Amino acid sequence: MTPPRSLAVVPTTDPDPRPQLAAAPQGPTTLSRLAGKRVVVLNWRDVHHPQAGGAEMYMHRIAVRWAQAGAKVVWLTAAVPGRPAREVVDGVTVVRAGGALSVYARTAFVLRRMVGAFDYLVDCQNGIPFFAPLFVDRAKPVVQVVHHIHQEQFATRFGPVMAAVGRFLEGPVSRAVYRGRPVVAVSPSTREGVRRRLRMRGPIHVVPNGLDATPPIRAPRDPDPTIAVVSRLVPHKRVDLLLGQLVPVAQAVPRLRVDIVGSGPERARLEGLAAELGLADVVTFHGFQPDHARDALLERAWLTTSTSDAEGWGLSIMEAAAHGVPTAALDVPGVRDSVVPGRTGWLVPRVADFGQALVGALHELSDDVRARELTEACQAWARSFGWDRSAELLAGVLLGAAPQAEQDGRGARSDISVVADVARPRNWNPASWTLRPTDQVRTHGDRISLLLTGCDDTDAKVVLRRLGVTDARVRLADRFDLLVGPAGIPDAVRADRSGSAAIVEEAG
Amino acid sequence: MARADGRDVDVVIPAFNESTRLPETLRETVRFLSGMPWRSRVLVVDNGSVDGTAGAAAEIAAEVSGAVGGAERVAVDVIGCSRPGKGAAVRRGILAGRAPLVGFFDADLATPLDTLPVAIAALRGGAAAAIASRHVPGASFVETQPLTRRLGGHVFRTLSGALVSGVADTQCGFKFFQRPAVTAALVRTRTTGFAFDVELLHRIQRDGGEVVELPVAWTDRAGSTFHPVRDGIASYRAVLALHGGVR
Repeated sequence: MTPPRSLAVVPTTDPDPRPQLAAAPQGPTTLSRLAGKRVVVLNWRDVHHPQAGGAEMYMHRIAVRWAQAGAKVVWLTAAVPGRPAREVVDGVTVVRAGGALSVYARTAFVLRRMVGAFDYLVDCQNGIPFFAPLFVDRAKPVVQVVHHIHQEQFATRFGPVMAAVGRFLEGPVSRAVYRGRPVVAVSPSTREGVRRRLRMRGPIHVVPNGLDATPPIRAPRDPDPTIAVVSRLVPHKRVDLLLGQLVPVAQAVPRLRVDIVGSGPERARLEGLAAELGLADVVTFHGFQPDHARDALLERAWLTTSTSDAEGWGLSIMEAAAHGVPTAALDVPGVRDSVVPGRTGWLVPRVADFGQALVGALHELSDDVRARELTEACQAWARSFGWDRSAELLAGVLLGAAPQAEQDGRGARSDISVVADVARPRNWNPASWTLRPTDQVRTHGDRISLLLTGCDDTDAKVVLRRLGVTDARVRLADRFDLLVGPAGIPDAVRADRSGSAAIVEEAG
Repeated sequence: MARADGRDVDVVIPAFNESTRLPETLRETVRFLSGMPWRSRVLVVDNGSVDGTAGAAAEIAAEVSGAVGGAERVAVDVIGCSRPGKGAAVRRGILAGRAPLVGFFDADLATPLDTLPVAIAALRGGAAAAIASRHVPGASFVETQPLTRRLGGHVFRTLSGALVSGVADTQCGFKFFQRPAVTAALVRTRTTGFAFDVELLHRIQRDGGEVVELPVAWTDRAGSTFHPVRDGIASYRAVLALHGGVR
């Protein structure tokens, strides 16, 4: 196999730290079961495409780990000017042909010829999937990856006719083509969208984004109350909503400063708006900044904000958390998965309350002890997301997508999941338990935690009893369990419930 | 979920994608129940939701158990049921409980909570089942339902009338039971869809149990999962199938 090359310059992303393989994993990992397998990845762009974004980075980080585990990964994508039609990037064979639209037809053509030449296929949906099930053998495992739902976005990018076509392809056509095949969603919010908006019928697994590296220590924060927002300035990020809420905040919080880092088509309008609102002294538009300058601005901030209308996953929120900066955000899909309310930030239901929430947050953060607590929680939260785990999880979905891999008597609605905590049996090793490849197991001391998907608490007890476990503590999984798995939310982030009791007392 | 903790009443709330309104419903229910002269447990059954219903319910459960003396009178527990259908979720919840009186109501609180003490009194008076009814004297619709919906309901009531005698409304989502009577019926029940209530009441009556109807002021809530045509036809078929014989 060609030796992996180092990643060339990719704008706006950090180089991926080499996965650490120092400690040999105990027993066979899900990843190791991909060794020797041939995996085809379909994505309209690859990591060297000039417009490559978070979705490409996600799949690339994962594919690289599969390749390192011994899988042969081929990535079919559109042509990139100045790059060869075929090259090996970090161990992944990238094959490029076609443009932004013709790549779909060309890929279909290639797949037709590839009959039987691969074991697993990953179909990355970017609004429109590749409809791979139409072009491959029925028995081949195909997994669709969805970052966010595009139904509304089509209308902002295309005319009414093309937008309707887009909605039709993403919804009803995909539903008919992929039928019961597994879908991977990057967050519980996206999973909800895939189920309820796109109405896909197969199992939907959550495989979150990793984070590249958590900076070890924060630079001292600014003595003045400072908000930093790192965002592309595009309409759906709704930075205008933030500006609209800042007037009362600037009145209530002396010496407030707001740094907006990033550029985009909205910039001129937003700068005009800030001037009209009389916020020119408060808000600074820094434009696009290289990574180190962006990080320096972020590190000095007390707080970041999100007023986006929806996300698949709050990437900028998590990057801020990695730097120890909490987030005040409007409570919308995707964003609500990235903020642990009361621990790594604040979720605000209504736009009109956002300003008041900012005042409250800045006031809370003016206490150094409280601020340090939030910083630690944010960094612990960010450390819960690693690409190694993402690669494991997606590998598990591939292995579980094999047609013979189903049927063990679990119930019908697959969105239900449980977390089980059991005593570790003597002489236990992971191989002694037969679970689904998508089930997650984590040992800590003399306990074992499991996340069983597509399974309610009654079924889980039956499954565990079959494994010889009778003392299981079982509860239904929530959105954070789905994100961080059986390891659970780190202690530094775990919600302190003492404050919420008041609601019931007052009610009683 | 067996907890012999001396509760008098188990309240089952089946919930499918109810994360938006369930928290308020639970708070209101807990508030109401803590003012009642019996000890109760609320059992939320997440019927395979994708919207974080279980998490939302668990948060309220933690609130209640965290409140001073909160769990004394009212406890909240959350369990799951991956089998689709309200009937399946209700069955799971009822069978998981241990209190001598048990029942369920919908997460939309379309039936006022005031109906509960009336139902409990009826059960203590000897009834096997006390169910809310929108179609007995004294009942009212807070808002009038559309004609098609009323017509469809009429057909359904005619069809089910032969199976459940003397009951005008089998479908209202508010029913309480004596545990022995409902358990005996549930373990034989095979439907989980819209005919679930009909089969359940039919079995209770056939076993000699008395079903009491309580008039209610009903509010139609938005977000009903009932699809008039698709589910209407499905419910007719289910009831007709029951006519074929309940074993």
